[in-house]
Amino acid sequence: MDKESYLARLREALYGLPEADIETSAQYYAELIEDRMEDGLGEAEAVAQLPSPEEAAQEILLDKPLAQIVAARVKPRRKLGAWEIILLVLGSPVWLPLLLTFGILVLTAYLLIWVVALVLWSVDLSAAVGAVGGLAGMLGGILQRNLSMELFATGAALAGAGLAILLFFASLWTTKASARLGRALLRSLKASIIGKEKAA
Amino acid sequence: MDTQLKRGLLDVCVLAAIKNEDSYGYRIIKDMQPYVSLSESTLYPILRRLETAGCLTVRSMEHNGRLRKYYHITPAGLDRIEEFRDDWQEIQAIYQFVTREEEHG
Repeated sequence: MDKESYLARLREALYGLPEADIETSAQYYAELIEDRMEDGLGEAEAVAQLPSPEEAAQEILLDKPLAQIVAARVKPRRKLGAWEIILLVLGSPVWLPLLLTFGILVLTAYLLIWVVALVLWSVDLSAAVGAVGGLAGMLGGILQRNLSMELFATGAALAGAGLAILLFFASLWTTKASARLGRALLRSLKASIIGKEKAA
Repeated sequence: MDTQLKRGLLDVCVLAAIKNEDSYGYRIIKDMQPYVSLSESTLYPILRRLETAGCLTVRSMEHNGRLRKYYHITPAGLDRIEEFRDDWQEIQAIYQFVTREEEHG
């Protein structure tokens, strides 16, 4: 493959991104090919050392925000004909709910990831509030010289504090894990959008 | 290796490659080769990311009748390398702890 066809395939794989983005990417790969040729390699050899244009495009696309990838993927390659627009409008009762459902499913999956962390934080907060309440009860017990109330409240305060500290670390860990999982979900979603078009 | 960890490490590697002298894509990859193998397609998003984060600036310079992009490290980029050196002390301490546990087990 020569430089021009490599760059043409790259541009094709990036179709739908803003023109300036495509140009910057093409310039980057053109420079890499030219630098290799300056190093003494032939044009075909220089191109062969690079990742395939599709692989290069995938890395570029994965780094873009999800909305931009979707916009790039649904951008029609030519102007739509009048009958195509009519079909799109007439078909909207079918594809619009489907699209919405898909979007809501993805959103739900994302929220579900965070629910565990949210619940843990809430329980943690309740335990902390309980500990403070226990402490107040303890003081009340001392003031009222009520030994059983004092002992009970002390126990409650200690249990609450212990639980709060323990749950704090559990919540922190879960939050971090959720963030990682969320990122992984987003990345695989992006990859599936990028990949689907390539297969078509 | 954990992808998030590797991503952060590669960012610092690229900054280190332009720390002493402005450099360009092909040379950054060649300079890193003995230590880390980095593909061209991986380098590209890293450069974009570092540029957006203000860790490096890009300028095009004429070279043999064509334009070549040179990457220049900024003070923010130098700070990032410093941060990594600080983090490394901590990582080394953790590593020592982890391997010590292994020896006992």
